[in-house]
Amino acid sequence: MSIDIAQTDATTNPAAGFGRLKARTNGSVTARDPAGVERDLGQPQGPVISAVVLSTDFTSGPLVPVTGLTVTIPAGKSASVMFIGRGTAASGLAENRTVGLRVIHGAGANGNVSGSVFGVLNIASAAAATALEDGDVINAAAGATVDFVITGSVAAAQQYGYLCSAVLKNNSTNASATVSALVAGNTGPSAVIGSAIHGVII
Amino acid sequence: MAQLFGNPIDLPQTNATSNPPTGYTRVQAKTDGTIVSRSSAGVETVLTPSAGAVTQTVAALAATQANTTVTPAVLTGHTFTIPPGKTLLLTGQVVCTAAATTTGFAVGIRVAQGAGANANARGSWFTTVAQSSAAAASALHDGDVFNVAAGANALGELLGANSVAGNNGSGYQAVITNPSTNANTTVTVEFRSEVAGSAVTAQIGTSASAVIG
Repeated sequence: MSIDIAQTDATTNPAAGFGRLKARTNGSVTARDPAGVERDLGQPQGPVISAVVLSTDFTSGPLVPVTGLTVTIPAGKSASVMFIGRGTAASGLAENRTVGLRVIHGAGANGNVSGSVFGVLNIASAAAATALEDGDVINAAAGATVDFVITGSVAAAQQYGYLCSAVLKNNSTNASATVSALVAGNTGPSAVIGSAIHGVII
Repeated sequence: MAQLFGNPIDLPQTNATSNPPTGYTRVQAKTDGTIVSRSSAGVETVLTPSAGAVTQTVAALAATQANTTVTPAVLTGHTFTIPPGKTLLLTGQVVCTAAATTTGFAVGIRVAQGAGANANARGSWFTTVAQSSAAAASALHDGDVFNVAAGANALGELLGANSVAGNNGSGYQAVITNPSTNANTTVTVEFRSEVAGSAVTAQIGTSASAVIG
């Protein structure tokens, strides 16, 4: 014998001392407590690691998200996100190199994505070179796209390392947000094999 | 409308594959001990996530550790194993004193892929080395990537070329993934002196947090 439960998205709470097993119209099965806290039983309840590592070089040109390097923050979740990578500059011409993070919040979200981001860009080939550093806050409304970037200039063929980290909370209850790695550069890969983004979703 | 049950609900274990009617979701106990939901289209979702999907290990030096050579040495306890199909998120700090103000120190991460692995270990790291006791001193920064084949290893390292009296700090972050299905990846945090015969000493409390999932 099994239990067939009618699907509903009703938000009433069970009585004190009871826990409710509920089928949602999106097919999920949830547990709801008397305080109204509802958990999807099909999803891991603890922290989840979302990590993507490049397996091929990525050459950008204009500022664009790195293919595949995106982390999704579900509704109501928080994320500690980090983008670490290395780029190359093949020419001896002076040119700009940019790295950053792009936050896109889902259309119709009933709460903003808010948090902060900090980045470091070591633009020179010498390990001891001075790096560029900057930080900012993020407060992305429904449907909005918010970019954080750092731009430095290179004048010789060289490698450069970078790090962008962010702590973000998706305050909505009805839409996911995405965080993507951004790069730009005129020549040579802007993110080489091994460059990675990861998020710990809580 | 919700029904009230005064006791826990015991479901008989079955692997039956019939589906509920449209508009309903079925909750079913299976013979392997899991509880699943089943849609009218026959899609099953396990409702009991596996335990231990994400683990955290913290390493911290309980005693100082000196290195008087220019050969990297593994910090005690700072060896982390990534099982096949898993990813390591590594964050840590190394705090050193130097035997002379002209002796700097290097911090590195070594990625070693197991022999016979059917995919490379890949990832990246970024580190900062502050070669001064002053809190506001300028720091060095650098990052690099890893793409390590079976049986090979690679070291990413940042060397601070000089030093002053007092503690010298370093912070680092790394993301390393092991996409193979048949071998472990080993990641170690290492340090060394800039000058042969002149010691750098990692201090008690030098630590790392490794999250694997």
